[in-house]
Amino acid sequence: MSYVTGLKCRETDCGREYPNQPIHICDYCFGKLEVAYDYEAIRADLSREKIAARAPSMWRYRELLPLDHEPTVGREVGFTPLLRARNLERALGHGEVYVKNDAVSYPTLSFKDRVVSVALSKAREFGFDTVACATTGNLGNSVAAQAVQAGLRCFIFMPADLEAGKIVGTSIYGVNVVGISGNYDAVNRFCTEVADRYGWAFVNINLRPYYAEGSKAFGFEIAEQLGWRAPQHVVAPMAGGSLITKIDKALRELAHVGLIDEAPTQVHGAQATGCSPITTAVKAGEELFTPQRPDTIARSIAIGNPADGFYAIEVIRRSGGWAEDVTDEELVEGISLLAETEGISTETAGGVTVAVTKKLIEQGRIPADESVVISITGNGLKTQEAVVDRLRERSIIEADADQFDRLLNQLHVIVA
Amino acid sequence: MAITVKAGSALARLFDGNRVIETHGATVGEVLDNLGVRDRLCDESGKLRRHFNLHINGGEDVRLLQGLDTPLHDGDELALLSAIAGGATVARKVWLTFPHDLVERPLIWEVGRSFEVITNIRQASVSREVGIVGLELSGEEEEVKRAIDFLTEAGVSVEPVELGVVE
Repeated sequence: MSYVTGLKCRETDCGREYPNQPIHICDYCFGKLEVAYDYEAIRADLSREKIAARAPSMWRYRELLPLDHEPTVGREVGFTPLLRARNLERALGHGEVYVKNDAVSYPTLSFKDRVVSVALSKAREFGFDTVACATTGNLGNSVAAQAVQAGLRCFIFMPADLEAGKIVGTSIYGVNVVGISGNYDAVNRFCTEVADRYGWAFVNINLRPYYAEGSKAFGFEIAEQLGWRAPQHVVAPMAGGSLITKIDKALRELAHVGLIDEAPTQVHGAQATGCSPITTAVKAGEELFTPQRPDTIARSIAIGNPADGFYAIEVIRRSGGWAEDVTDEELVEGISLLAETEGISTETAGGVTVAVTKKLIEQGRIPADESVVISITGNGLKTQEAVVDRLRERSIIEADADQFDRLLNQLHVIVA
Repeated sequence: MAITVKAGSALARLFDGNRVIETHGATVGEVLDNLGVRDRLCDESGKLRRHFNLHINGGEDVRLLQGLDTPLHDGDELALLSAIAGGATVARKVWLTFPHDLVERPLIWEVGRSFEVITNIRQASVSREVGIVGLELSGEEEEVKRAIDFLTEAGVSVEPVELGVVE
């Protein structure tokens, strides 16, 4: 059975309600639509024990996800590791740091697997046979992989000038990949027009209210893996700004339905300085952001005009969190720091999140004795070019034990 | 008399998909005859059907002139559009971002005057840094596109209401 009551405009002074359907914008005020639930029914039906008895995937929280029936796409997605990062704690001079690691998300190594599994399952419920998205990488990887598995026809739109490596990650699945020439604004406008014209399930356009709900599982898992409690701080990267609002929503929902006692979590947003419309607005005390032209190597989070930017600013402010941005150099240091302390290789967005966490700790915004979860959303294999120049040079020797002895001497390694 | 006919995208199917057609004729009616579309565009009494609009050189509707008998001059441009009530229309929701130097110009009024579109303001907010208007533009697809191009050229940033969707 479903606990979804319909869609509701997210603008608090509007709040108009709509029945379940593939729409995403309030006709009245242009606010974003959000899925509404019958929380009283969920509170009565859902318990920690019930969840614990289910398979370790994001669907163990299915009552709080927006499907009418059991998921049909991506049933195995989610429940990635949350680990206590003791080495990183020492490096940061902090007492309680955790890493929520979606770099190992199944099947395509980014948190987009979560939102896509919800969107494609919902697309099937609505009866769509074709799914699509506009992407610069991670989203396309996941839509393509999961569409193929689900037997859905699939179109992926990408800027024509995207690097070859990014295209391979999607093309490998044999779906229709279309490169669009033109500047970002033109490509972006084109994609919304295609969504309008062909009546397909465009996962992050007409299915966006459902799609975005998938991010909540990231927050649900954090709370359960911490022993059913909310952390004092969460740091998350911001591209369109949706993830951070959904982590916040997830924790508040858990408190609302009685699965955790309280949700006092301060959520902090991270961006690259070269594309920082949200952090700039937060730091300036503005309620609205000014769009920017992205100029950063953190391409996966470089959205100059973030779809959920307004809501991200609102959530950061309400939760008592903050927002910071870091340079490309700092984000590469962030990648190295996480890799060299915790053995986790993350993409540029993860480097941004680690480097911003470091900055917020240094600023005292995340006190050293308050728990913090760092949200790692993508895998380092996807952006190797960002770090290749700063890797330690490897040693090359002949297949000869004496040569290896000499090398050990050079490296000052003492062999017992 | 050489006449250029420009058809809105919804009507291009009348001309094998062409949107710009070079033809000739001394009156509007003659042009329609030469294109072989008089029967499609006019009712039994010979009047232009309600849901089509014809404009000469971007000016007035020919109904306000002499209808199908309106004389044409060499080089005239005849725009053939489907009126909003006729279907084949779009309603495009956009956010307009106005830079400081444009706030006093009545651009939305200008759009309503210059193009066959309905402008419907749904939201507006202004901060120290940026002014934003949520506008729905409805009309024939090509006309809506022309209105958006006009705003863009005037210096207004026009974004789909979804904002950035390339993730």
